[in-house]
Order: sequence, then C-alpha cells, then structure tokens
Amino acid sequence: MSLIELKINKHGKAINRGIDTLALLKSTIPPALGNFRWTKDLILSTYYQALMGEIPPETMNYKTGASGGGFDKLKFDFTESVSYDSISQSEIKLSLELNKRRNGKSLTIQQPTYGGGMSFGSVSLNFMLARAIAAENLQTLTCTGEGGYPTELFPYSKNIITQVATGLFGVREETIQKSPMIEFKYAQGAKPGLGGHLLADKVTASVAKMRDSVEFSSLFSPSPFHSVYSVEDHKKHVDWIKAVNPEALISVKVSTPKDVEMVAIGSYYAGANVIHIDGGYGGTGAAPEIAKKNIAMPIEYAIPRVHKFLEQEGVRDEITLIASGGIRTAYDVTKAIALGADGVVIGTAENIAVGCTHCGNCERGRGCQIGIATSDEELSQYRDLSWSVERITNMYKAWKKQYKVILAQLGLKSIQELRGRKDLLLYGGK
Amino acid sequence: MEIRETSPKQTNLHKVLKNKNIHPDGKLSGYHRFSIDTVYTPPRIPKPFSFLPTVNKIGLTKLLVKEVFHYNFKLIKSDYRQALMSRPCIYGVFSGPIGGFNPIKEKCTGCLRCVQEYPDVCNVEINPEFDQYTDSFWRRKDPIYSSTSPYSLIINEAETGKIPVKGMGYKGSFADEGWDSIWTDMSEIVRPTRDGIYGREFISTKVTIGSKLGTYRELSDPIESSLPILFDLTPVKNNKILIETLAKASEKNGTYFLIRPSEISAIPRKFHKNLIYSIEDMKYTNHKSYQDIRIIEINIVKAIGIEQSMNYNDIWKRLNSERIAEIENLINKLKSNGKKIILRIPFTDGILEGIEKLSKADIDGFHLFANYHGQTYEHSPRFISRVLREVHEFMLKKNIRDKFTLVTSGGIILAEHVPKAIIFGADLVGIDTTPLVALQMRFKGECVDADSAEFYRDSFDVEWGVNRLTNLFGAWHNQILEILSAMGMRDIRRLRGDIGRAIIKEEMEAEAFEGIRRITD
Repeated sequence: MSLIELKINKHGKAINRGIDTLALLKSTIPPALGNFRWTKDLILSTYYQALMGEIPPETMNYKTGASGGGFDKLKFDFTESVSYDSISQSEIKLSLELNKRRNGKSLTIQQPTYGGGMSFGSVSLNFMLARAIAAENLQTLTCTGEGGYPTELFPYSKNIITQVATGLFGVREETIQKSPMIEFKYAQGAKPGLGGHLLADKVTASVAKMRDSVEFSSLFSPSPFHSVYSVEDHKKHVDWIKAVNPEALISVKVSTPKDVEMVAIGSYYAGANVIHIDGGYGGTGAAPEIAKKNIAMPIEYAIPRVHKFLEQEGVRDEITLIASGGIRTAYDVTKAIALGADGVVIGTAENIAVGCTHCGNCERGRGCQIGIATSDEELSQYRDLSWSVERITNMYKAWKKQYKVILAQLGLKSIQELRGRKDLLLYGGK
Repeated sequence: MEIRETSPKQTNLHKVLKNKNIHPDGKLSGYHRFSIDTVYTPPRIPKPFSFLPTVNKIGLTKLLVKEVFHYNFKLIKSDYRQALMSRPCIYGVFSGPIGGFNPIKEKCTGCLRCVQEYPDVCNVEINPEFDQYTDSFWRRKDPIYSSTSPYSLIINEAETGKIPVKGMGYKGSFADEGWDSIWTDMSEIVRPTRDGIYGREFISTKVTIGSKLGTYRELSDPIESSLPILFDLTPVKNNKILIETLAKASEKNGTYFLIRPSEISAIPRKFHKNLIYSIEDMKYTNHKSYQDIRIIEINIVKAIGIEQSMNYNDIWKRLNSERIAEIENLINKLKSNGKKIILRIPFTDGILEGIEKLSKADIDGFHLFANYHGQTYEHSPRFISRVLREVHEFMLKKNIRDKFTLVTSGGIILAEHVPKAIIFGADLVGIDTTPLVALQMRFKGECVDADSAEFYRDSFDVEWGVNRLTNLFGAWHNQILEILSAMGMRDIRRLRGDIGRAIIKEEMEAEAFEGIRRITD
C-alpha cells in the first residue's frame, strides 16, 4: 500500500469507529462539541440515526436545538390528537409531487425532502457520490451545487438536480439535458446577496478544470446573475433551459428578503415549478460571519409569509414551496411544512450524518479534516463511499419513521395534509 | 478562521500610471479614493487559545504500543513508519517533538477530529479565558454553546484587519435582545453596480456632519467623516498614550474622536481637525489651539450640573428657561467662531420634548447616548434601538430631521451594530469600549458607563495602537460594505432611517406566527 492508502486506512477507519462510539454514548463527550443550533444532543442523535436507521432514545434531545427561538420554540400540539394506533403507519403517505402545474412532466419524490446544492470543490467527490446514491435509494433528489457535474455522477442523473448559479461554473448543456429539475440559484441563505465564495486553497486542479478557472485562485460567484435585472430577464433564463431540456422542471432558489413573497410570485409567473426559499441560518462552505447572522430573515418567518401570499394570489396549488436554511431534524421538517412549505431541502444534516461536527473549518486550508467539505486528495477518501451512503440513507429512514409518528399522532394520513396547519403548532418563544 | 483580504491591490493600471509619473492615488488632483490599508498587528499580550485539547497519556501510550504491534515487521518500510507517525490532526496540534504527549494548544481549531478518531484518548474543551478580561456585555452568551464572544471577535479583527469568514452555517442563538433582534434586508437582483465584486468597491461610507438644509455655499464645504463611526469619550480618562492613539487613528482613517477639556493638552495641533471637543461651559473655549477645532460638543448633563450620582431623568426638570439661555449664549459664542455644535444628551424619559425644545437653538446635531450596555437612562430602561427610532421618527414628524446630525452611542460594539443603528435613524455612531478591547485593555468588573467604568491601565506603543484601530476600522468598513452590497445600496447616507430595511423580530414573529397558540415554555 502507498503511504496515502495507509493513512486513509488508518485514519478513515478510526474516525468511523470513533463516530459510532460517540453516537452510542460509549465515551466521554467532548465539551467543545455543539453550539446553539447544533447542540451536542442534535449532533450525536444524528450520528445515532445514521448508524441505526432508528428513532433515537428519548434520553437524547433529537427534536430541538438550544437557539431559543424559531423551530426550537415551536412544538406540535398533540393534546387533541387521535390515538397513536388508530392510524396505521403504513397508510401514511410521505411523497411529494414537485410539479403542481397542470402541464409538464410529473416528478414525485418519496419523502418530503431532497438534498441541497453542495458544489464539487466545496465538498469531496466521494461525498457528492454518496448523496447521489442515497438519493437514488430513497427515490428523492440531490443537487450539484455550482461546481459542475462530475462524470462519476452520470449514472444517478435521474436523481440529480443541476444547479445554474450566478458564476455559471461548470454549467453545460449536456448536464442540463440529464436533469429532471434545474435549479436557478439567485442567492444563498448563509450569504444573501453576496454571491458564492470558494477560497483559493480548495481550488485544486480538478476543481479548477471542472469550473474552467485557475488553480488555487479564489472563486467568487457574482450576486446576482449579471444577465438578470428583472423578472422578464429571469423568464428568458427559464426559456433557455426549456429550449435545452423541455421536460425539466424549474426551481428558483432565492434568499429571504423582506419582500420574499414578491420574489416568489414573480418566479411563479416566470414559469417556475418550485420556489425554493433559503433562510438566513442555512449552511455554506464559506461565508462572512456577519452575513450568516444578520442579513435576511430566518426561514421560520419566510415560510408562512410566502405561503399566505401565494394563497391570496390564488396560485398556491400550482407551485411547490420548498424551504431550507437551518432545518436540522425530522421535527424541523414537519414544523416547516406545518408553517406552509410543501417540502424541505436538507444540507447540513447530511454532513452531520457522515461525521461532521459543525466546527466551521470547511473553508480553511485543506478543508474538512475528516473528508466531507474538502477537495484534498487524501482527506476526501477518509469517508468511505458505501459507509457514507448507508449513513445518509439511515438518517432519512429514521426521519421517515418520525414523520409517521408525528402524523399519526396528529391524525393525518399524508404529509401534504400537514401543509399550512399552523393551528397544530404551539409557540413557546418570548 | 479564513479571512478575506481587505486592502486594495496594486493593479496594472496603477503601475502604468506610476510609470507615466501620474500618481495612482491621485495626489496630483488631490483626490484620494477612501480605502483602509490594514497591516497584521499581533497582540501585545498573548491572546488566549480558543480551545484546550487534552490527551490521556496512558491511553495514548497503549494506543501507540497497539499500533506498533499492528504494523509489526512492516515498520522496516518507510511508508509504514510514516503512517505510524501520522497524527489525527491536520492543523499540527500533535506535530511537536513528543506529539500527543504535549499538544500544541494554539494550533487547535476545535475541529474535534482527534476526538472522533480516538474518543477514549483525546478531548477538547472551549477555553473560557477570554471571558476573564471582559464584562457581561462582551462575554460569550453561554459557556456551553458559544465558542466565540464579541471580545474574541474584536481582538481578532484588530489583529488581522480582515472580515471573519468561516464555513458551515450560523451557530448562534436565534435572536437576542437589542441589535440581535434585528436582521437587515437584501435584494435578489439590485446591486450597487455590476462592476467588481458585486459593486462593493463603489460603495461610499462617507457621512456629513451638520445640517443638510444650508445654502449651496454652506453645503459646498461640508465636514465629512469617511466612516459613520467615531471614537466616543473613553472611560479611561486622561491617558496620554490612549488619547494620542485615538487621535492618530482618527486622522489616518478620516474620522473623529471626542475628548474632554482635561485631555486636550495631550493632542498635537495637527490632529485638532479630527477632534470633537466635548465641553460643558465657556471656560474651556479659551485654549490657545481651540481655533483649529471644527466641532464642539456641549455636554448638557455636565452643563446643567447633573453629577454622576444624580438621575439623568432630572435633566429636563433642570433645563429651565434660564439654563437654556445660558446654553444658547455658549452656542452663540461658539457659532460666531464658525464651529459646528452638537449637544450631548442622554436617552431619558422626555427626550422627545427635550429635543424639540433644544432644536430651536442654533446647533448642528445631537449626540444621544445610552450606557455601555446599550440601555437607556429611562425609569424603565430600554435598548437604545427602540428610543433611537422614536427620536428619528419624531424629528421627521416635526420636520426637523435634516436640520441636525444624529450621533448615537452606547452598546455599539460590533460591525453589524453600525448599519442597524443607522437604519434606526443615526447618521453616525460613537464607539466607547470597543477601541479599548481592540487595544487589549482589560475590564475591571462591569463597565456600564464612563463615570463608573474602570480598566487596567496598561501601557502600549502608540503606533501599535494606531495599527490595531486601523485594522478594526478596516474590518468594520468591509463588513458594512457587505451589508450595503446585499441591499444593493451605494451610499450609507441612503440607509439612514430607512426602517423598511430592517427585519424586526417582534414584528415578523407577530405576522408569521399569527394563529399559533402561545405557551409558556
């Protein structure tokens, strides 16, 4: 074995063993693990679900973080609920149709979530592949992000969304043709209005080649598209995609400004099938700290605002409202749907499932120390592909079990019945 | 933490212009585009490590023995020996001569890979040491969930001059009191311009001090500050090194600093154009170099004889017609010498009526201050943002807003607080304890206001201090640009009082969670 293989063998396996040990609480939990949003309990319970594919024991708080607001202070009102056993869980439907318009191709996913864009370069190819294979297993989707579409992903193209973002890095007609859905990324919740950043250290030769850029030179995606000044310009973008791939659904990913509902309705009239709103507390490979905390509203406020406005405009049932940005657990997903979303995009939780500690070092030097958010040749192989696929798949299996428990307790037979049911929520915030 | 460059780079155009003997900074024309040149300035007192990695030495010994047996005879090969010595840290925490037996704490980033790899051997704690230097307003919000604090953030900004950039999402609490209950807006499409990096290079942070309603002649030579930030009166009084540092940093960065009469003798005359002289009566207007000073602040609290032990809310009772006449006399004397006059008044009950009364005097602005924790001096104290908004809106209603500059201070300690205060109505903000933190001055207990706050009196080199404060301005300037860029704004003056750009927690929550039953948690 070469030295790199020896190191991968040594460290990769040890890390996997250690993560399992931590998940089962068989060792001391490091005091530095966790923060307000991703607490120790949320991280460890996600490890547990990724390991076991089961709902964690009640000794772990796997439902809420400690942020003191938003999802962490919302809970379901189960007091009026029907008996847990009166609805058979096998009757409960979790699928979501993404094309709600009368025309066009149907695209149904078998769970109310799909994977968010994480670009090649910001994350390793191994992790991208693991997400794609897990999406195929779960009959849902995942997204390329803005770093291009590596050929290794081609076998899973039916489950992969091609993202067309403002830098147009790696956007090619061939990959647009392969995708069931194309996502226009106008903004990202973690850095709204600031474009994308991939810092120089992560722009390795393969990343630069995929993006037609220069090795080890920082890449900034502009904000917004330099070709879009209005909804009419956006419509021209949609027309371009439709010309390349007439069957693809169109998703428009935007951040959560104060007038987010106006953006949503504009996207609808420009032909979007999906309006994807990404809240201020979402994930990123690198962003100024000031942007993560201070710009644009948290997703908990944006969802009801958009849902209500689309209802008032009479188009709510013709567009799919997808929410993301700080949605961490099965409970967060169902709360987001109760607030008015049709479904949810998940990013960070998938990283946590394969061992992320939410340490925030993704942008630094070689990137993620255990091989998730990295383009480093050695580190990116620390996460074994089949192991990662199983972890992500297991996490979603555990989440599905939780959706069914929640829906059964609320007396609902499908996740779609939960949409906009704010009356089923209680709020304990100040 | 990876940090983005903030200093302008020499472009090819610069080089061409230089070769043609045309100064690229425009010195021939006298024009110089505002920028802040930062320089790495290490701390004078070693800063605490963020994390404390520890290793169980017995466990590590057992692990090494086990690994040696695992590789066994293969260790004759170099690759195997290197694999054996390969350590579970990419940042070099275990790269010292005896590896894990003596972890190099300063290299730890808290990534926890060592714990993930060897959970029975390694451990990592958050170092609480930063909190010892500060008071409650600057500390970590929570000893379990927070790894950074406003204090550690400012220390790092003063060191590097750069914007903190990190991976992953936001780690903090959902929202808190004060500035942390407000988000700023953004636009999906509008940018300041489409040039450069989202047009950031074209954003202006310049503000004017004085009325916006003057004649063309009056307005053609405005007093401007390159940043909407000035150094307020510091709680460390009569400290020559500190005053000189603030003076030089203000001059270098095109902004202003406030000083007391007792401190003016420490300031060389060349810095007087960047000085705001905070006085309380006529006797301080006779200093020999006073002529060069352009802005005078009259401290109303002192001018009417309210002492530290008294309640600031008495201000309006004491401000009778006789007192007002005395202050007007002072103002008229100062105005006749061409000074801009600002009245310094605390946020108290009755501030709106007080402002209406004082607005009849020939003044140029108000400096409204809260305590260092952002709390007003009202009988039921509130956070500064609420009252600031009330004052701004009151002045708009009375049609006097553009006649005056509003400076506000108290509780403004981070870059994001500046645009938020401006959205709520301020033209400029004053920072008080923040420069002291940048200069690594340590708090003695709770530091709530200028009269009672105490700091350890450390000495430092003035040039070092100037670089630290310049770095602070550099980091803040760039963060303000981020906020303005996201909103598509090209000029910070446009942001003033634009309350529609604020996303306010209580308003948003009332709307978004309408119909959801409230419970006590």
